[in-house]
Amino acid sequence: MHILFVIFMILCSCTKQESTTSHTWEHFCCRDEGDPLQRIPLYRAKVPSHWTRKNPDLKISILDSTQPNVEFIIAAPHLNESIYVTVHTFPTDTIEKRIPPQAQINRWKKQFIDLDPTSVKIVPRARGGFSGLSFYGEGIQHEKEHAVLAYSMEIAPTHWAILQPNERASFKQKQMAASYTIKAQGQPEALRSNQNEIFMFANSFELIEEIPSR
Amino acid sequence: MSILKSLYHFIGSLYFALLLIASTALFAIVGTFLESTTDSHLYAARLTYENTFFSFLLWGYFLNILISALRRYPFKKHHLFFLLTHLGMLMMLAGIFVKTHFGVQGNMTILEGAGSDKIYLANSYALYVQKKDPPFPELYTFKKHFPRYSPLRPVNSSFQNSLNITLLDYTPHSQESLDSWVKGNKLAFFGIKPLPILQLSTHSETEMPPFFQVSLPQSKEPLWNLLALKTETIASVAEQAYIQSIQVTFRESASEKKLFKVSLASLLKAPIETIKGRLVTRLDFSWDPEKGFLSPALHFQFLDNSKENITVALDGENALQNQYTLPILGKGTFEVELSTLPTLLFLTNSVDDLFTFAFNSQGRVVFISNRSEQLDGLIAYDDGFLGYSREMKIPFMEETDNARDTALLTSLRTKFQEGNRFPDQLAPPLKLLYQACLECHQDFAEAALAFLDQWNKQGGWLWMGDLPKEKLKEALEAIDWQSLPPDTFSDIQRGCYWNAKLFERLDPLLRSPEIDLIVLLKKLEWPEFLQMNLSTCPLEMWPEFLQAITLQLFATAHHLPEMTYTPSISSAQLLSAYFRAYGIHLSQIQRPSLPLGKPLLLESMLSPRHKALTPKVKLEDNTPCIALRFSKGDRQEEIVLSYDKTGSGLRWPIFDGEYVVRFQPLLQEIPYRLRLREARQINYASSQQPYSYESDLIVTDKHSQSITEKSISMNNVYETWDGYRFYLSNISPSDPGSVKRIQLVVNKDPAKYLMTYPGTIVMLLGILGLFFKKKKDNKT
Repeated sequence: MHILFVIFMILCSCTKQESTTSHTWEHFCCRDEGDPLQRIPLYRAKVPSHWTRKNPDLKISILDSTQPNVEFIIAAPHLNESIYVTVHTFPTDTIEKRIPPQAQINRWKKQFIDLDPTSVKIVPRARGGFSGLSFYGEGIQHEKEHAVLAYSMEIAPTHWAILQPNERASFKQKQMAASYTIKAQGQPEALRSNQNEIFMFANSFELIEEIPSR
Repeated sequence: MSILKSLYHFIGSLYFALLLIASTALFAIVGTFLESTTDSHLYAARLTYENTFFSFLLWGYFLNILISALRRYPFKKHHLFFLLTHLGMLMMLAGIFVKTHFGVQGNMTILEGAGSDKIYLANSYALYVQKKDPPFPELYTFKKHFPRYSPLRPVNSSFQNSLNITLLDYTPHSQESLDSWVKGNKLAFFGIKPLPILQLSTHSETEMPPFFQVSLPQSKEPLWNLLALKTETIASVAEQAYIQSIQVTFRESASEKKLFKVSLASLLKAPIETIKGRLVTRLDFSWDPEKGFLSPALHFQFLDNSKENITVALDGENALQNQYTLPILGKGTFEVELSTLPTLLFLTNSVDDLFTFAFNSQGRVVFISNRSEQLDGLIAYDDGFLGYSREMKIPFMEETDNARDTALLTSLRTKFQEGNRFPDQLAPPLKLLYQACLECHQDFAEAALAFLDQWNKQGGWLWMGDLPKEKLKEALEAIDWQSLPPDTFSDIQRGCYWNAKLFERLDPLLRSPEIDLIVLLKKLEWPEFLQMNLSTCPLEMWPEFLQAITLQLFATAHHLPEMTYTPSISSAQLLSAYFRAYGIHLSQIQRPSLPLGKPLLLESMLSPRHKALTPKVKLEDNTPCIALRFSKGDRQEEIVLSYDKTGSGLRWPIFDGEYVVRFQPLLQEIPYRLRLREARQINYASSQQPYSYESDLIVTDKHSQSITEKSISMNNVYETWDGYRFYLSNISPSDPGSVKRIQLVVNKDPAKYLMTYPGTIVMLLGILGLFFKKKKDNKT
């Protein structure tokens, strides 16, 4: 009887370690084609509650792909640093005009004045109908230690063919077929301490609607 | 009446039960045997388990169990467990019956990012018809056994369609080929009239038919060579075609003057005499049917002086570049240029494989394989309503002459222009030239480029010959060595001088047939210290050795005698020595990637071709084929379709694209929509061996619109509240960087919780009751 009681107590004490980060699903808009009012919510992801969101100005067009679709600031007060997370989408008219994920990564690498090659990790990934690469690197940028954790994803050709079979594809279809990048950058220690949240954000990032199929 | 009574008791008797059991066992034995020998579950099932007689067996069991229970009427208390057992068995049999006729069993395929609410019913047949406008697809079913001239019926009987569909013919097994480039005995693609495919016998490989010369609207080139042949000796025919089409031009490198032009065919036949001795030409075509070209090249070998040898790669990063034995010395005496009319050669064999070879006007070779089963480069016009075509992209077909040299010089020009803006970042020899250019108001970038280019063309360790004419001469003569830092200019000047002095005699000998550099140094009676204690220096060590000599002279310059004025030594030679000390020579500068020449895009309409085959015993491997007649008003059209097992293949247009059709499994809609977020293969740590397959789904109940996020994995079935079960059966491809497709097995047993499982419990209760009751009876 005593043994049974002990076993019972042990079983009750076993708890699953759960993440303490609370998050909500948030929606993000696509780009416009010159008119800010064209923007529609197209994406969603799990966003930790302590991230500060910064939306693009509703009066200004974000046709220029150097402008982010959305930006987040993660404060790391104990380090007196912030991490910046930006999402960019890259709609194109033809599949050939897409920027390959490797080209994005090469561009991120070149942004470092001095990149530590031993820190570089490039991993292929696929999710939600998109495939591409994730990149992590540390080095020097603007004379400070800097790290980048980023993802460059493009839609599968099969989905592209359905969404943009020709130049008559609708605005929404074209935006759905757009490649995207998620880039988190900041001081290496701050980035590492928020890594799991960034993973969660990137791994939950998806189109709100499912991609149509034949 | 007595007969009926006898029958009633017989059906409920033990004898009948034994007969049923024996028959079932026989079916099971036959079914197992057939399945193991044919490897076909379907074949075995159709003869046994799906056989009508087997259904009678099940009914027989039902009646036997029911009547054997009813025979005990009127029931007593001690009949309880007996009746329970029989009731349980009846419930189980009823459950089987309900599942067979009302259950759901099918497969669902979903691509990451997409969703589906339809399952394909295995081993079922339907015709998918979709009208273009409005775009609502419909399914039609066939009569059993596909009788000829039978009409097809829409699954949705309320569907109003003016289309009448009649089955003309059915073949249990067939092969479908999709013809594109080769249609019958002609080659066809957009822009040309169909070209006849000439049969080439194995004996006539050396007698190639002449090329057709055509103009292609897809290209800016005015004329193309075009030929289509059927042959089994693909490699040798392609090589022969290349030999026949190429012309080789020899130029003098320094002056770029054209010396002579000759066909490759005649060069390959016999050596020719040149000012550098006998020249032997060899073609290394290096082509493999699976791997394509394996570094093909043309080799021009001078029998009397191997240093003049030239290799011209015919494909790849260094294609069409003259590669010399000693590129460190710049260009050889000759430069070789290939030319031809741009050529397309289509070779097909007896199994309908197509091998496309292309030679661009500079002689580059390109190979495109089109195995008959591949569907690469497929284009769907208007989503298939206007048909399909295959596209072939042939790269590099419109390449500019000397593209790589131009690219290199352009890249250098950019760097030198950058040097204009930041002269302090220039290497000392370049800075010296820069200052000289400033002095005489010349453009530094152009002067530096001209100097490097002309030096490279002359071929020599240092600059050989007179100063160049024009502006470069002015810049070189304006070089002020005194502008070098005072503590070093004397040594640098002396190093340059003694390099120039020694190489003035050595450079001409470097082009001689002698391949041992130590022999040349000894002939010139050079100081021993410059021989670096080597007894021999073969050709492959020359670059390193020559560089070492130059650096050694600079390092020991302050020990060397003072310079004396030597009119034969020019400022160009001195500067080239200084450049060598810093490794600045065109051959030592990394060449930029070649800018891609414009590709040629060809398209050819896709048309299916079907061939009836002997049906296989393994029924699952058969691909049925049907011929249909579509009638609409006074219009009629006939089409042949092969069975598409996955229902995801091409849909074929009829009535000029008004409809598209496909022969595929029957689809059944389920009340859930599944969306695949991500599918993944989990491997064992530090291994490629799969540990688990998982997929993250969003399941939407279409009635209540409730959404559930679910992860399912192998052996972890997801079951909805109403009994739909989703089992992950396949994920492909497995690599983490590709968008995945999963296959789910979907089934639903409507009677599982109402009849089958309760029946099992009831039967077990009955059996246990009978067992313990019997023990108690025995004790008493």
